Amino acid sequence: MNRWLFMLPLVVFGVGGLGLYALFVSQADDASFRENLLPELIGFCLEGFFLVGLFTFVQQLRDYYHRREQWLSLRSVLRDFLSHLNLAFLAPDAEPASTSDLESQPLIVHQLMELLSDAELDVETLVSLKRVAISTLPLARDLINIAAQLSTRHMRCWIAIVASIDSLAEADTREQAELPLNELLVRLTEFDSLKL
Amino acid sequence: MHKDYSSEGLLAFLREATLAGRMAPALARSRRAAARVLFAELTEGEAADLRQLSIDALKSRLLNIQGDGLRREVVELYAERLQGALDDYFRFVEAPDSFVSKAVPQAASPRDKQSTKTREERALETVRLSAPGQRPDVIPIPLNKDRVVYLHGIPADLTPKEARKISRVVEALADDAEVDK
Repeated sequence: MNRWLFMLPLVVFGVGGLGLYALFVSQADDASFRENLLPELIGFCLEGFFLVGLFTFVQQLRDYYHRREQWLSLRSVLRDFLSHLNLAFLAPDAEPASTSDLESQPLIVHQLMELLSDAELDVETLVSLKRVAISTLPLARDLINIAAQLSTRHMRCWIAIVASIDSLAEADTREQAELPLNELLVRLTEFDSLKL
Repeated sequence: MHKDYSSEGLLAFLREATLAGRMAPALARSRRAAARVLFAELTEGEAADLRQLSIDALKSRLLNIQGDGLRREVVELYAERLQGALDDYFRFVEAPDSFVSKAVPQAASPRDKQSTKTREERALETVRLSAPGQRPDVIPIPLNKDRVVYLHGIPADLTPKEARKISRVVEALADDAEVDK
């Protein structure tokens, strides 16, 4: 359902209230509040405007948090990939990124993409990433329906991510591993950029 | 003279090591951060005397309790840093006057994309990368060039008696005509 449709009652009550108020002011005199239905109608419009507005706001907020939770569920599946990459590029004696940052900060994915374009991962990290891909693949596939609940674009993007994980799980050479890994990060960037 | 092997002593040593010029500031800082995280699960005995501490046991305790918040690979990294800190601290307690911090071997860092690799390095990479795809619970037995038999579900604590039982079942499946020839 289009979220602008929620705004329609607000507009009706708002415009109606303002129109009635303008009408009331235009013919106001000393006896305006007696035997006159206009003030009552204006009050009704004000009540409607605030109540509908409040309920719409609460509903939208709850909807947003629910969608955000679903998004975080999907994002947390890919945490181990980002974690291994983060440690692979970690400077000596530097602190690794926090778990919550890895799960929710798109900026980290951008940084990892830049680092990956300039440098080559050591074989141990590639093996770890392949292991993560093998263990994550069934779960990532199961979560396609969660992505579908967010939007069609989220679902398409998630299916592409699953395909990258699948390719990484099948990789037997460095080239076969690096290509899907890059694709995974690019698709994850796209996934992050989609509006909730 | 009383020698302090407690966790508090280690943290104080790491705090003062930088000021005294015994250790690089970044190294001391990273070790302190690692120690703080891992010491959250110390027993009283371990906290009082770090010589009793088994880092592997501490790692598994942390992963069991904080598995949700602390990632396995980060625990491994912190454990390495704590091990380095403990080695240095014990040497410092034993001989404070002659103490010099040991350089820790760093993990292999990502190489430049332009760097070339030998054929052996490439072959080794391929072998290492193809290994995780093979299931550890499936044992391949090559019979000849085109025939491989896979054993699955062999328990880790298989006894010789059980192995003989399995072999008898396999022998019963063999074609007797081959033996007569």
